[in-house]
Amino acid sequence: MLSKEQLPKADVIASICLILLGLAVIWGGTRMPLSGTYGGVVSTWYVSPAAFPILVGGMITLAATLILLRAIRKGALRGLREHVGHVAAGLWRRTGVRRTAVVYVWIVAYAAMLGLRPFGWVSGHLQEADFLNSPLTRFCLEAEGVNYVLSSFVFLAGFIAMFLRPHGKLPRLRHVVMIVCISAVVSFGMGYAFSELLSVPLP
Amino acid sequence: MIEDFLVQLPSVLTPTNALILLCTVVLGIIFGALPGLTATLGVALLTPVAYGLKLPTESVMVALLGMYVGAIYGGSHSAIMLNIPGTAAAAATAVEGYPLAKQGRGGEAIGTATVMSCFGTLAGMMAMLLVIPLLTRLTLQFSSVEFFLLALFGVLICGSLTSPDTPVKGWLAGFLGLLMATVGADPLQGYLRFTFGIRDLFDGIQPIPVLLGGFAIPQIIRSLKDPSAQVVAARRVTRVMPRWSVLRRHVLLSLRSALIGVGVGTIPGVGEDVAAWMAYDAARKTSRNKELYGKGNMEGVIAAETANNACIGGALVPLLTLGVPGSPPAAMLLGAILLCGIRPGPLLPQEAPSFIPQMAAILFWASLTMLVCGFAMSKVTVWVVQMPVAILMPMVALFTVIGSYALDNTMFNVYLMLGFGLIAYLLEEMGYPMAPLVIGIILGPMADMNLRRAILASGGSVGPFFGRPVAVVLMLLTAYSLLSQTRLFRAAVARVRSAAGAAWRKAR
Repeated sequence: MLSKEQLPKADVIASICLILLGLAVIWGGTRMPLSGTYGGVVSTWYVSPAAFPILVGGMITLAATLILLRAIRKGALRGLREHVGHVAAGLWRRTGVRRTAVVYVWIVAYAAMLGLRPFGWVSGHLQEADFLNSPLTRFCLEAEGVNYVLSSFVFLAGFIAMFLRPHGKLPRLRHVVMIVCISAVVSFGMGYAFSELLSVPLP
Repeated sequence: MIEDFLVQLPSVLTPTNALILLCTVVLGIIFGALPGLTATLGVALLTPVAYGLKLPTESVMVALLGMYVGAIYGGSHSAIMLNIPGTAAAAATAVEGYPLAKQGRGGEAIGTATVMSCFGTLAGMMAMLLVIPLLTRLTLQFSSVEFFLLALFGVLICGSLTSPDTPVKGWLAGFLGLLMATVGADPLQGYLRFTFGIRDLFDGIQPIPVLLGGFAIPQIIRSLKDPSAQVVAARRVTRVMPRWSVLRRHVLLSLRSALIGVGVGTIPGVGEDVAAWMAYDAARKTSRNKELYGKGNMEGVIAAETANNACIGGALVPLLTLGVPGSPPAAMLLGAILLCGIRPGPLLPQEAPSFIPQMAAILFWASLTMLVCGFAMSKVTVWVVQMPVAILMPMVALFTVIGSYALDNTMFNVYLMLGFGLIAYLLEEMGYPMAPLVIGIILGPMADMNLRRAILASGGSVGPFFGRPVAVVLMLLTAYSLLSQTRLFRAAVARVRSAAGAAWRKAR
């Protein structure tokens, strides 16, 4: 959680965004039919699909306003612009922010690899070389299986290499071998276990 | 109910279910012991797998309850031996358990925690069997008015009790959950709300990918954000056996902690961590050895471990009778129960008469399995929790991605999970709790439908909200949970209290 000094200033920005969200929900509600017909009653406001979203939008706006007022009472508006400018300028220099961004972007990249199937073509080449025709090789030759295992391997190896590197030194050979082994075993093991043993389809 | 439970006891334990139970309890203990992996996340990750395997409902429940019980208990291992609570529920255990481990009594503390967790789970199960028939009879009188107010009360009370900053943030998180529940086809008329033409949103937002994102992504980021948060050296585990004389001396403490656990469990959305801290606090306040607290007092371990496991049975009471989950892992369990086509609520005993006794029987076997595995695994878990987070967390990410995908076989759920994960991380950084948001998503359809049905039944009048006794009680509780957070109300209560105290002193 943010520190006590940063929190009120962050509250101002977050609550303004949430007030806007609440108002947008109310506006979205007013675009829906404001009366409905259900269970024998005709054209009444209380069966309208807009009733509940408008109520929730109102509650969000009210609660966010309370948070905004609380933050203002705590003096969050004093030097807010300078603080935001200062934080924005130094954002990328903070290790925590950089690590957060790297972790998140890497997971998103993994999901994109599963969705876009950049390694799907490998299965076509491998299928030509299929001579064992066992459940294990069949799994290895399916486009989903190949893409899943290779994407997971790239994700795991990259992730572990980025965060397991001791004290910023370049990974030694032992580290590289360990990372490759863990990534290969986990990605293949998980893919095979989910797809063949648990019958859970792979992306 | 008790007779049905006795009938279910042997029939639940088929060879397949016994194997599933053993595997999931072991997995749960490891999951709970690993810092950053919570019981909620464990149940969330296991749900798509169990559902995807197309197991019978009974086996799905065996798997999920095994994971739930194991994970809540497993946190105590790393809390005692490493001073790292594997789950929030074990944080109170670490306060006394780790000093005991430093004194060379770590094995005894783990043994005590194991026995008391088993006792707590069984006490929660008994409370569940005794309370559910009474509560079901009461809830059969509930109309749409009461169900709407119950959903609103659940969101608000959960927001009040779980917010690390102001309670308003907890309420706001709950309202955001209610908002997410409105996405998709309206439950009464089928009108599409906030779908923006995206076909994947027509059926609404699936709670499980959202919960996976909300719990897993922030945890992965937090674990890796701080480079110093790495492995610590473990202490050696000595002989794992409690001192029976100590357990006998603290029978009353155990019973009181179990009652606290069950009571906290029945409050919507308030989980095992609150139960453990409340029981620990009560034990410290009433102890004859107050000066030993914080230096390694077994009473603290007994209180916290009994309460957090008793909370499981307590959390199942509102879940099964009202469809309102008592804790975040119970919210996940509710999602799984709904996926299996079972509708928890007052009609559950009629619609699926064997379901509640079955759940109690599964809890019984899960607690015994946990007792055996807990003793057997103490050395293994201490070894496992030393795994670096840089290896562990990407594996959690793999499970989270495949778990989100497996539910509907669509990448949309994966993208939804990732998007929501980032929002959840930012919200948590600003002091917004995730538990009320989860409760909001789960209770949103119930609140939406029942609000409109209630006003429909009264022909547009809000009279029934003020005319029905249970509704009035719920309204008063909701008003109290809101007003008790305001300075004005607290000052007024303090003034009344001091005036009453002065009058009483004068009368004496």
